[in-house]
Amino acid sequence: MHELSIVRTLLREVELIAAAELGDVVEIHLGCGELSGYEPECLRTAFAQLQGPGRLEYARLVIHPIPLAAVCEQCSGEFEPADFRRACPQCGSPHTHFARGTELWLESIVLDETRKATVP
Amino acid sequence: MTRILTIQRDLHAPARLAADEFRAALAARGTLVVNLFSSPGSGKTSLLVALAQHWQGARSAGVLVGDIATNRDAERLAPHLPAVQLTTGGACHLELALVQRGWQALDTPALDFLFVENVGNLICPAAHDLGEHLRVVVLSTTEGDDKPAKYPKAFTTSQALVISKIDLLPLVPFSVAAAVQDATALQPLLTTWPVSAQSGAGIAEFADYLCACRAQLLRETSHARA
Ligand SMILES: Nc1nc2c(ncn2[C@@H]2O[C@H](COP(=O)(O)OP(=O)(O)OP(=O)(O)O)[C@@H](O)[C@H]2O)c(=O)[nH]1
Ligand SMILES: [Mg+2]
Ligand SMILES: [Zn+2]
Repeated sequence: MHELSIVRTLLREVELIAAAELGDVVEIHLGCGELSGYEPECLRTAFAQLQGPGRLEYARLVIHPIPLAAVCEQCSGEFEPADFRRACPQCGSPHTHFARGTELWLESIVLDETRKATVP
Repeated sequence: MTRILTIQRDLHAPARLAADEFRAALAARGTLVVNLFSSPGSGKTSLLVALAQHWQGARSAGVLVGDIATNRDAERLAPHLPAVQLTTGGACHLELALVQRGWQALDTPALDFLFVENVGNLICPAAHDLGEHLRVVVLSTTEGDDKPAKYPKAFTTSQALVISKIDLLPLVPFSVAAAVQDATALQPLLTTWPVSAQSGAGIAEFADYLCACRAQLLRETSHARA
């Protein structure tokens, strides 16, 4: 499982944001590309393992799958490669690139600001 | 009271940027970086030894070889090519930072080829950009010809497919045509290179392909500079 290191990066980023915004994190919304190399189930396991005391203690990780999308360099059509097949289904061109679905996207976080006044 | 904070940041972006920088830096030195990956034992190290024996020093190449444990592959390669072992200590694939450190340790700034032999694993390396110019997936005839369909990500993200251990074809139920058909259904631009490191069959053709890829990289790099 190689999700631990990216989840560590995620926690660090979110902790910094939460500290700057003076809030406790309630939810973390993550977009997980089909070809990102990360499995939602493993991300959740890694998150549970690394989640410690502090502003992220009660945060819930919400993962939204991002389906793979490709763009044809010939006809400019966009398509979702079925079973990872990358030829263009419209014009048949093999010259395509992935436009979406390779990323691990930190979409948003939900903050609880009730402790704002009490916690520095 | 809760508040939604929109972030919209790709956690991969720093790694992607670093990979692009490494790719450009090595292209400027005239080095083609080749990321070799496959299941464990499909013949990556043997292929590199066979290439070195074919070139007989006419081409300069170095190897960064990733394994979970031991220096055995680097020791096997050492009589043939400068090699640095990268031990991941359990991790299932190589990361760019390790490759960059290995390249520093190799200390041979103007190679024709830098081969990165990934950890034996047909799944995890597929999603990790190591700053390579060429990604080569190796499939041996003893693994079964159904692997492209079962591990599509490895094939859809590669540019070349080496079918290794073809000397064993008479002994195993492996159809090269079926494997190639499934692999090119995923990635039609995939070029296929059947080889045997044992007999040397196909090694010259694959070596020439690597040289052609490097020549193209050099042309593109000099165009970009002009
Ligand atoms: N018959 C035959 N055996 C081969 C060939 N190439 C490699 N082998 C054998 O296959 C086994 C694995 O080869 P390696 O070169 O170590 O494979 P690898 O992919 O580097 O293995 P890992 O680094 O452990 O993933 C060894 O016993 C080799 O001798 C070949 O062309 N023909
Ligand atoms: Mg090896
Ligand atoms: Zn098209």
